[in-house]
Amino acid sequence: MRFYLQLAFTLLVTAFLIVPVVMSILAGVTENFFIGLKSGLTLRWIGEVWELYARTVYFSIGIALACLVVTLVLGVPAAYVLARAQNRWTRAFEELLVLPVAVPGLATALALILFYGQLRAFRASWTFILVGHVLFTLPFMVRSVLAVMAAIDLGTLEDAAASLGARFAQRFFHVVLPNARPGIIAGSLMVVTLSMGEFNITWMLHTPLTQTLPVGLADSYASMRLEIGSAYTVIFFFMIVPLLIALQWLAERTVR
Amino acid sequence: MTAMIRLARVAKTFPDGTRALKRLDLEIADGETLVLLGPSGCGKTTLLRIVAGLEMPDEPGRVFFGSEDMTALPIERRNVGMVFQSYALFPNMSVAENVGYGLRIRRELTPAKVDELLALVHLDGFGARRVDQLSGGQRQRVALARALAVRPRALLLDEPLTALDAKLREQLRIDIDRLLRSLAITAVYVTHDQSEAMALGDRIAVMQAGEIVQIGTPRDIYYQPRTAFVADFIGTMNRLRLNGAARESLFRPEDTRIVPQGQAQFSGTIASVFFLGDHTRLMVECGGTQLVTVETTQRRQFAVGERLHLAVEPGALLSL
Amino acid sequence: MLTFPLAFPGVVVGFMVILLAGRQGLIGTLTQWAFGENLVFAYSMAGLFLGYLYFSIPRVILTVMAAAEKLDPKLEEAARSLGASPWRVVMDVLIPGLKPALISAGAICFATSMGAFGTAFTLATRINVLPITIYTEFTNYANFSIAAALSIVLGVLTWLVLNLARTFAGSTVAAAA
Repeated sequence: MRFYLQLAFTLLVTAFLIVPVVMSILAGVTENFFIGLKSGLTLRWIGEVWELYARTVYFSIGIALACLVVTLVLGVPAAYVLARAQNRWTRAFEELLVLPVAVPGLATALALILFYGQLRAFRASWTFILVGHVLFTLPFMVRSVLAVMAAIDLGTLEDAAASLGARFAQRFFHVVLPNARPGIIAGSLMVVTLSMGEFNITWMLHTPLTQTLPVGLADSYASMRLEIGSAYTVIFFFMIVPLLIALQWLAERTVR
Repeated sequence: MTAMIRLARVAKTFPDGTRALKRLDLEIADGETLVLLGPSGCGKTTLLRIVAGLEMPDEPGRVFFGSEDMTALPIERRNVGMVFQSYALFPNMSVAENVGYGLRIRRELTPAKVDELLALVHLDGFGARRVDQLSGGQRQRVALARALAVRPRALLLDEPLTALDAKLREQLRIDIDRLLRSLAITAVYVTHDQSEAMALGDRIAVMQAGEIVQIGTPRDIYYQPRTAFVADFIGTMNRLRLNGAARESLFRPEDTRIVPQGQAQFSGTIASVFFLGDHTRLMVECGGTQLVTVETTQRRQFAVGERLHLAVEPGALLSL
Repeated sequence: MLTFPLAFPGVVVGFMVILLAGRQGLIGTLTQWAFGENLVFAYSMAGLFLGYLYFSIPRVILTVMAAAEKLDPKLEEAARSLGASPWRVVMDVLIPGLKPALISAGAICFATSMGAFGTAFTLATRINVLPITIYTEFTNYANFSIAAALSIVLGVLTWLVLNLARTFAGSTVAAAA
């Protein structure tokens, strides 16, 4: 009896989460939302969305990839330093690093604007958005890589490599990086996913020329008809769900 | 190329204030296996790491390999082979890649050399395996092969057998001993297991609280311990006041004989009996500060509470 | 799959609530068909609540799941061997064992909800929550100092609460957005 109650409850929650998603997808491919499915399925809305908003899709992809590169270059060495040196400075730095995650995106964006707003060229360029994204996603890269690095005994492995004659650069590329790879991959997926879906910061920072996909979404919800908004959402799901599946698959692999 | 190792005025205090080593001097002969033996915290691992180049001795300590002053050189440049307690095999490399890593750094890597090394440690054909597919004993042998690949001047082993179970430990002890002898390589071996120390060492340095309290051959250490600590640490030592003497006499359990009442030096009641297969260990209450341990090969059965008359083998009584 | 909604921006969640409970929403259509009344609650507190619930549930699931996996099943077995009924096992073993994770999950929900902008932006046409106020102060009234001050309040509050969460559950804090 208890089992069925639990099952029913779980199914209810699942339905609560999934049904709206299904609805949005359906709305995006229905001829007319008010009439419903009876009006027929069509790809026309998706076509219209693409004409209006293709630029935002490319922009989002570009920012996500740029964000990935920056977080890799900054985050992996940072994680290494944090993993090797275990003193109170590193712990304080870790706290500081996590700050942009705790602080609501709105506040982070505001801070950026107030600080750099005077630099006209910077303010209007895509790099401004990039900075916001990097601030937000860097902690996730660092945490992911750090978790893996801290779990293996990096110190002894490096001692062993050193005993065989390897200098620092050799040790880093032959031993440290390969063994941190699971963390790097997980962190990379995380960064790309978060960047693609980031709204709060980007909304504050964007200009009409630097619009990401989520920003475009908000725009379409406000100003376009329901079907366009839904079709746009379908495109978003189409881009983000594969990433999420990959993240999930990775997570399961590491548990094994 | 093996070399003599010399430590002069070496001491080590860590930044957080821990005094790991008090000032000491040490000489290790060419081809010798020196065992650093002691309980945890005695400084033996610190000493090994100073020889390796992973730690620097405090001023004015010096480390010499032969006549060369190595003190300022980090481990990468000292050409020593090191085997760690956790083996520290690189998980991202195969067995062959692990063994060949030192050679790869020196650009001397050839498949033939790797095969030769694997054969040396009886792991022929294991080259393609991943590290996580190996058992503890196999990993240890890969670690050995890897350390020996670069023809080090000295082999430094940090409790390499501690992580293995007893049977495996005994087997590998024999293998390591044979290897060290056949290669005639200078080796420094750290352990807290005194039977391991006795089996492997040409000389044993017994350490306590950052100092070497006695250094000598296994026989010296066992039969002529210089302090109570050494006496107690190596094997079991009985202490008992005999014939109303003022000081306690020290004698080994295997030198204690069960004799007829007339020849007894002392007597006691059996408190515990341990039948160990090839001999029996008896704990006997003789009125001293601790129970007397008697090891006997007599096959008869002993009972708790039985009265025994005992004497010590002449010449086997120790004094400190 | 239950944790996918973590990556949806707040606006998408708001949009989905509108699809469900807006003027042409599914629920409205159903109630119209059943009761003759078109129930629209997307733009009210109830709609807002629904949206917030939507992105909070995955976070709670993640946090509690991580802790539940670490729970030693032997504790449960021990309790049962001593005669505890299933109800008592939940009360005496499960909930105390999960307490840190539950507190942490609660803190995360609180922090995320406090800082949620996208959802409120889409849904709260008449209601004012703090992030929206900050936004309007900044963009409509150019009251930078007020916006900044309010942001500090919001930021400090959420940081404190998340710190609390981390003390109780370690660093397995689910992504905030």
